[in-house]
Amino acid sequence: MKRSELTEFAVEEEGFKLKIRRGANGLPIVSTARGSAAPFPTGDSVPPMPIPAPATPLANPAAAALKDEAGFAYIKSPMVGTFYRAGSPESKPFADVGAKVSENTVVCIIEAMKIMNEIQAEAKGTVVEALVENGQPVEYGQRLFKIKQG
Amino acid sequence: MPSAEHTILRELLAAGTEWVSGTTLAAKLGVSRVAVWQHMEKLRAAGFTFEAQRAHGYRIAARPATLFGPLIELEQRLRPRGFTLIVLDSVDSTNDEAARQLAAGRATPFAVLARKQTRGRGRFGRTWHSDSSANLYASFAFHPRVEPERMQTFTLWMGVNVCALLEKFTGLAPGIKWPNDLLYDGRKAGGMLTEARIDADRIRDLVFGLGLNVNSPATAWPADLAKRAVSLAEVTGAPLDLNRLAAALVGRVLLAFQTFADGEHLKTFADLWHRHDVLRGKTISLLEGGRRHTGTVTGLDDEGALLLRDARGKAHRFRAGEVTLEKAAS
Repeated sequence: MKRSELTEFAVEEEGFKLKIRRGANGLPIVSTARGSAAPFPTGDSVPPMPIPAPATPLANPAAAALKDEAGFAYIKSPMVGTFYRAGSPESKPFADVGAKVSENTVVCIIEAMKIMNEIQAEAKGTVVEALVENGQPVEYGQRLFKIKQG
Repeated sequence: MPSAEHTILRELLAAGTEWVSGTTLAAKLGVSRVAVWQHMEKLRAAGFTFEAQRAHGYRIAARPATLFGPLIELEQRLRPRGFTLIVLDSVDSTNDEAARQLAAGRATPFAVLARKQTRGRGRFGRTWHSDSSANLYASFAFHPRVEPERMQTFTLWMGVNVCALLEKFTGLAPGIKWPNDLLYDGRKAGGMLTEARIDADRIRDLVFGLGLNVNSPATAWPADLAKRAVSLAEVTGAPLDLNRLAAALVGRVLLAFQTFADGEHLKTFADLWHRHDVLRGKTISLLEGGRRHTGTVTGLDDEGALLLRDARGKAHRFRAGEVTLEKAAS
């Protein structure tokens, strides 16, 4: 908009108004108004703003800082999704702290678009820390478990 | 080598309403006419009835109302190489059986169908009512050569394909409720559960499971499901040929998987989703991670996430969650 001489721009569609005009400081001001009678629009007028995924702090920030702590490995999330430690709310966690795991042990489920993805340990050792809480969103590459190798 | 039942069925199906003589069948199989009769007894036990006329032979009078593997295979037009169809009388869950078969090294693609499930389930071990052999419980196993991130829209894509198939088969378009419920008039006719096993950066294997209420009567539902569940037969007013539907479903699912694996699904996904989506423009509440959000559905993003606008006009995006349609204000 800055590149154009346009100072005001408005769209009206199905009782939904979108108005953008250049403010005093040259930055656009966006205002929207809803028509009273029309149903709320199915909404292509305003691009949806993604909400930031809630941050999932690592239980031990120090562990995150250490890149290659000798003798330890991290199981990381291969995808964006929701982290589950058990197959159902009544079941025991796949991998509790203290559990021995090997490469093929299923340690958690990550759900993305109704695909329940079983995640394997990929490392041999003992779970020393679960870094994400049950039911929390996880990002690609996020550390899920800390494993003491061996 | 096809079984004798398979060969007899093939001949009778090919003949349609024409008669096939016992002598012809005996010659095809290289057995006696008495042996043909014995094989036909097995087909009768599976639910077929045959008309027999002295001088003419046999023809099919009625088909089984429950799943019958050889019939599904004969009805299936698309038969990819190496595909295996497994039809079981009863199993805990077709998804679990598919996982066991994968673990035992069975080559993909294959499908596991069952007349009954004793532990049919949805997400988080929730029960999928599965005790009627009039319905369809099916799981399909694949080895997708696709990066895990690309699987975000897989279940949605499979869902709209099942919708398109059901529309073709019944003449009535079902709705899809993000992300995995198939509905007629707001009642659940089917559900999907996709499960995958993932190594660091690749999908080791994947099972797509589907439960479809096909021919169970309205009276078959437990009281708590009666208002929320519906069968295709209730919707269309007449029972469907379960084996024909199973065959069509197997073909469609295999084709849809291939289209997705090739990345060709994006050409038609948006149109199909629009056609069957029941949530767009509706006020819903969505439960995610213990929190409830209310708003109007505005659509999907490229990753298949649901876009919601709340009462104050703020946009939200959900990758997962349980959706409940709010009752329309009266």
